[in-house]
Amino acid sequence: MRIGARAALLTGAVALVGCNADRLEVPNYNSPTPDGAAASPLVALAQASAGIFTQMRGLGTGPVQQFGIYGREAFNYTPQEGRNTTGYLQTPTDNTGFGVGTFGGYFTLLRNTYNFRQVVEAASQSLTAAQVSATKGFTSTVEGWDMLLYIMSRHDLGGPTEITDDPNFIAPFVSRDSVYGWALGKLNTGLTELQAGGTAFPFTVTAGFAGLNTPADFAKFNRAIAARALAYRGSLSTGAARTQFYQQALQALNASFINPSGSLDLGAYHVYSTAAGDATNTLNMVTNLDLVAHPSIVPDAQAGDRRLAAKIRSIPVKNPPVPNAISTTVAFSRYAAQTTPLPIIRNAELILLRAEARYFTGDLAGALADLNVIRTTDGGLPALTAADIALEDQFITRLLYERRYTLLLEGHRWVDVRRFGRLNTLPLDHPSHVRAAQMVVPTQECDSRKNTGDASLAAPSCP
Amino acid sequence: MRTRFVLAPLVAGALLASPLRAQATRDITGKVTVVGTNAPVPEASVSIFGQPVGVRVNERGEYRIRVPAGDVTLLVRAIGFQRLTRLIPPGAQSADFSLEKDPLQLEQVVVTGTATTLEKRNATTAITAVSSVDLSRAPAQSIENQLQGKVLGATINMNTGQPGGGGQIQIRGVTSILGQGDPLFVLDGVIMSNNSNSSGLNGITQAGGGIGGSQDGVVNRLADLNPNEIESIEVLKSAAATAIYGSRATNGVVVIRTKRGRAGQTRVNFTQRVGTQSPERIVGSRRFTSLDQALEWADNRGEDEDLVRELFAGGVPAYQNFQEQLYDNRDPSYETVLSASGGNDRTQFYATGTQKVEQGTARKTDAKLQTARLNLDQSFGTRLRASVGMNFTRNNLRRGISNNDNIGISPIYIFGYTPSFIDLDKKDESGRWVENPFNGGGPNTTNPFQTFDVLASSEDVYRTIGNANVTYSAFVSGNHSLDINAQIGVDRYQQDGNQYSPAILQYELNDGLPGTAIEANVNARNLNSSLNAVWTFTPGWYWLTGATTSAGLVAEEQGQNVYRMRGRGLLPGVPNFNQGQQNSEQTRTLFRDQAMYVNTDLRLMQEKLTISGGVRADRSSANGDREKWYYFPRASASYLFDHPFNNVDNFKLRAAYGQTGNRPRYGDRDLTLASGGVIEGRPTLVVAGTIGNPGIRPETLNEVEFGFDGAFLRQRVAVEATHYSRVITDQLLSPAIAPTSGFGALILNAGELTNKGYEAALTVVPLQTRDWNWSSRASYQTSKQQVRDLPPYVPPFPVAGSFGDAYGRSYIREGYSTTAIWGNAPVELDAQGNVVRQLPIGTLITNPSTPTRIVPIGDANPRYQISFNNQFSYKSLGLSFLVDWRHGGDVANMTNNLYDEGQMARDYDAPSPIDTMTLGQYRYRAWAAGRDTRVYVQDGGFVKLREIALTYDVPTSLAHRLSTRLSSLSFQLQGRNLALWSDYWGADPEFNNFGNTNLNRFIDLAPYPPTRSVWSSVNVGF
Repeated sequence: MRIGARAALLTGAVALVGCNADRLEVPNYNSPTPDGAAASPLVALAQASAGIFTQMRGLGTGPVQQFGIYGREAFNYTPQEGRNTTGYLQTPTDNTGFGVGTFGGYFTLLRNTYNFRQVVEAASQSLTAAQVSATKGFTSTVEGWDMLLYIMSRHDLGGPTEITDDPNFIAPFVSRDSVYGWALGKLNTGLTELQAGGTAFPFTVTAGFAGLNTPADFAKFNRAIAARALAYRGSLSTGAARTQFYQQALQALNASFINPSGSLDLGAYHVYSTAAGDATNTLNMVTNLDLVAHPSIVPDAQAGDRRLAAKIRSIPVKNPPVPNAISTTVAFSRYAAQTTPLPIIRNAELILLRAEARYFTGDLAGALADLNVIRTTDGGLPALTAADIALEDQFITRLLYERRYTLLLEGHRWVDVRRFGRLNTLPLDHPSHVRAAQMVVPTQECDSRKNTGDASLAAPSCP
Repeated sequence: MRTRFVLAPLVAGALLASPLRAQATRDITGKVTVVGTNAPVPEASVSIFGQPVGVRVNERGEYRIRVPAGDVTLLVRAIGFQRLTRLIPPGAQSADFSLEKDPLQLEQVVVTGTATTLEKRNATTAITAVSSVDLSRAPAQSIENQLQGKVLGATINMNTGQPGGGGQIQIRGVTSILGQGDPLFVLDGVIMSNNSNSSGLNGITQAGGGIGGSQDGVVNRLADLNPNEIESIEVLKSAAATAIYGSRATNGVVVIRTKRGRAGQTRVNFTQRVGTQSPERIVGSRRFTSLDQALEWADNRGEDEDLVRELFAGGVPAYQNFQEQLYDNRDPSYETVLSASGGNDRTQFYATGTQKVEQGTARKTDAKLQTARLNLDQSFGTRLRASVGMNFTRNNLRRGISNNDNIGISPIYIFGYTPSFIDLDKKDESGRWVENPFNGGGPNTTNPFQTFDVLASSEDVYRTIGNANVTYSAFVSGNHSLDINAQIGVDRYQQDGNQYSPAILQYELNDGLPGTAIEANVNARNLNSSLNAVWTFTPGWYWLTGATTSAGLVAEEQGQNVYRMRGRGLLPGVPNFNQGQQNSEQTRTLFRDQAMYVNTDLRLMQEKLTISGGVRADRSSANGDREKWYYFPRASASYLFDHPFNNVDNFKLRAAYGQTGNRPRYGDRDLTLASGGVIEGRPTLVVAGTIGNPGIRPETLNEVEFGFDGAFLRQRVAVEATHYSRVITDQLLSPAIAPTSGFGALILNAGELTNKGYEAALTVVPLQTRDWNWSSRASYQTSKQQVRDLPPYVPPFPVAGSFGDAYGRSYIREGYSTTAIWGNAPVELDAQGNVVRQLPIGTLITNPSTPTRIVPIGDANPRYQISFNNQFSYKSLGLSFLVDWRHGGDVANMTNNLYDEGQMARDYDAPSPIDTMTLGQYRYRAWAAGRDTRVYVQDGGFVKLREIALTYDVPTSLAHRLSTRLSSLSFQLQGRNLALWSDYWGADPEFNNFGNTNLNRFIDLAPYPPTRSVWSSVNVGF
């Protein structure tokens, strides 16, 4: 049957062309796959390390602005979005509100460093032992920095510190002090790993780490972060523990890049660019016209403080987008351009940390000297005398003043007043305003934990 | 395999029958006319009862058919007429038939397979069909408009009032949370893309991230369809009907047939329509009556009080009705359609061309649709038939800016913050538009009059849809026939989006890079092909009158490449992104699906009992396991009681069960890494936020449907009612996981979604005389759904694409409907912290520290929908109208929220429940920065007069006086969206900021106002 044969042939042809299972092998055109990354481990290493820097940068401007609003340094007066104001000043404990700020980002970075360790593992055959160690040291340091920043935001709530392969794994919240301990543990491990790290990292370190981009120099960055963590931990402790933490902080500072006679801007930075795909510093004064300064910043400055003129500019009156908030006529000129780098930690802070650590370990003269370096070189103000810091309370006042103006819009004031128990020195501009001690946990985290039915996994601050 | 047993007796029957017996035959001739007249019924067909294929009458209504010598029953039918059967005794050589009209439209065929159909009267599932006459009663922005109120069981909402339209068709509710939510559109066998792709407006409005976004007033590509080409639309709702389309059919299938040529003299038809348009409803603005009031506003809003004083220097300035000023385009819209059809016994053709220019109500907005189609049917000898269809479309859209934005450019948005006492619709002496000095002034804001005049925003689509269908009668003998059929369909389009925002625009300096040019390109390619074998067995026995069995192979492919480029900081006057600072984005998708199926339709007991069954096996490149076949079985039956009682013409009971699937999205199966952007020129690799699932599989819809259809009182009353119950298992979900895991979301199959609903329609013909005719149809539909059985590791999670709890959004929570709107509300808590009850709106004004929780505060799913369709005619004069009533269905009215925040709501100064506050203040304060969402979640119930048409068909005798060559002449006056009755505050409760979305489809945010249009048409046939 000729016709039947033709029909059979046609059927067969269609079956072969149309219904061949090989035709279903369609690649993913949009995203890289782990298999693809594993096929070229050194490329993956280069790109994943760059990814760590972008993830770190992702924790740059957000927390600075959030801490700035909570610390009554700044307001975000976007006209069409009142919740940038109310969420922070009136309802910071609302788990669904804007005041929740950055939360998941800290753990995204932690997930990325977790993944980065695997990328390094995959590339290890092409690396020397020293290079592997350097990479681990880098990773551990970033993890320590990340969780320090996290606990600065969540403070008394503490947090989870564990990441596993299982995305559904939920780690319990541990205490604030345990988070500090975890971060410091990571930093200390990182230091050891960096010390065995040879002469160079097997990947490109951004220009934001100029002078800190070899394992040996990066260890100085590691110690700077450790010094901050130790000083914070010291200020949050009492008695012998306090002294001990401050002593450790001094040791860390000695191993950091501190330089009282060097530029105060020496340090590590997030870098920005307006190139396609890159990120800009959104705190800049050119395009972010909604970021304004709290008006108290002007009267609170001491006469002749150069930092005011350097970092603050006058603007036409800017009103809040919502009722029950105040207007202002000042904004920041701290970040001049979209590409101005944002400090991660810099020499000025280290000198101030040393002043603090020296004071609380009994070296009042040293503390005074360090405080005056900042006060005179950065502020252009007359030096303080020993009498000015005779009482602990006086010292703290002086320290907080210098920290406020030198580290303006770098994410410090809120954390500083809180750790010295002076949250109530922050102004309340309206009866409906409140001072938040920490940012709360967002609903999504609350729900995920509640859903486990395991009370030991519950997050604090949840409804 | 269960199906094997079902099919076994059939196969055995086929083998046992001896098809080669010769039979004596005779010819019968006759004429088919309309009852009471001598007019021929030109589309009638005459066949031997029980056999699927017969002969067609010629133009004069005459036929000739070869039948066996003995007793034979002839069946005569035609669309629009009631069928007739008559026993023809042996030896009779002629039989004339006169057919009665069929106002209830029972004489239609329905799709049951890729290559098979069944008569509607025997259909085993609920059927909705819309004819070209019903479809095109009044011109519309896009075809969704024309289907509204006509498809029982479907919820059809327009997304916007922009020219070119765009809307969403949801059949029997939400069926998927993550997967495809649109029905499958099949045009003459071509599976047509209804994708929505942004043309890059987001790159200017910055409503979301990226250059293109879902908030850009994106048009779904059904907008390219020209309703003038359509002969009929059939909507398959039941899973038992859609199962033949396998794993893309859970949302229903819309089968569209275009017009085809008919043998005979070439007929030419010409239609010219001219219309005009206006906004059906605008939200208006607050009116200021004194300087003090204006100063208070300026003080509250932080605006320039000196400027306000200046504006009031000459007394209270005139009220500027911004929206009426901007949406004042009344230029004529028009539509010209030319078609020709004809051919001979072997070749038939249908050719048509359309040019349509729809003006938008906003200045410089319009939609231009040009289409051409050629359909050819050709017989080669007696065994081979081929039909080919080819369509070319150009759709050029200038839709302006609407919906959400973040730079104050969307007009309805920015008018909510701009006081109605400043005139923005003017230029200064040098010919430059005045700037908007309010809402931040300078580059922080915009003057929409300037924007709509200067910004060039367009989308140009070139699309080709073609199909070829070849059927070969491999075998015909006695009561057996075997057809081999091959079909291929191609849908290819290119969408070219262009945005050019010159540096002179007020807002252009806001990013420090004046001038923006965007080029957004979509290349889409959709192919489908099938090879089918259809075996028809018509023994004419009582217990097996006829059987149609088909089997086949299907291959489908859908590819799409979307890339967008943006340049900012342009050289003056050059709309080229190449010269500025550039960024770009690209997304590609490719699906390949393969399927096999077998179907059978059994007509038993002289066609009283119909049983349908089949199974389709699918595999897809989108599934985790690409080689695994997923099986989708179906089975359905109907029993027709023919004149069981007096005054009951027929009554049919039907029941159906079916399973269909919805495949995963592209890439859901892949564990991926992601790009973390660029740093210092280096690409970065980071962990993806969503974890792919290599085991992902299609979600499965299981549906049981039963119902009845009845015709009464000599076809004067028809009733249909259907109940369905669906369970979607293995739902595709992307639940958010604990942020502390470092991931954002999972992809998985989990849980169930149930949906139960009722559909009913009553058609009556109260008046049917020689001159008068009145038919009226009322339909009712309601449905209710629930999420069930979520696994413990999936916490309640919000669905992407909303503005958060402060404004209301969809959550997936066990025990609740996916259409529930959740938001914040002040609550009373018990000692354990559980919510006891929600406290009244306004609680947070008097007691701001009241705790709030995320609670269900509304439901976007209407309680019920009723459509009321009426047609009157007196002689040649006809009047028809369609009224749609939606009861309930809440809307998150963010437009109202904007206007209260800007203190510009039209009712801002009205009294409120609190004496010391105006209504606008009260609402805004009660909302409490999003802590009580309920204020702005409002009832979106409405009654709409969707379409009305007055037609006059000039009697042929009169037409012939004008010219003997005229075969028809008619005039129409048509209106669309003439009236909207609703307490809803905003412009149109149907609209959605995010376009077509499965969920969160209730967000009203500064939409382009709904368009009302009035048309007059003339139609001439030669």
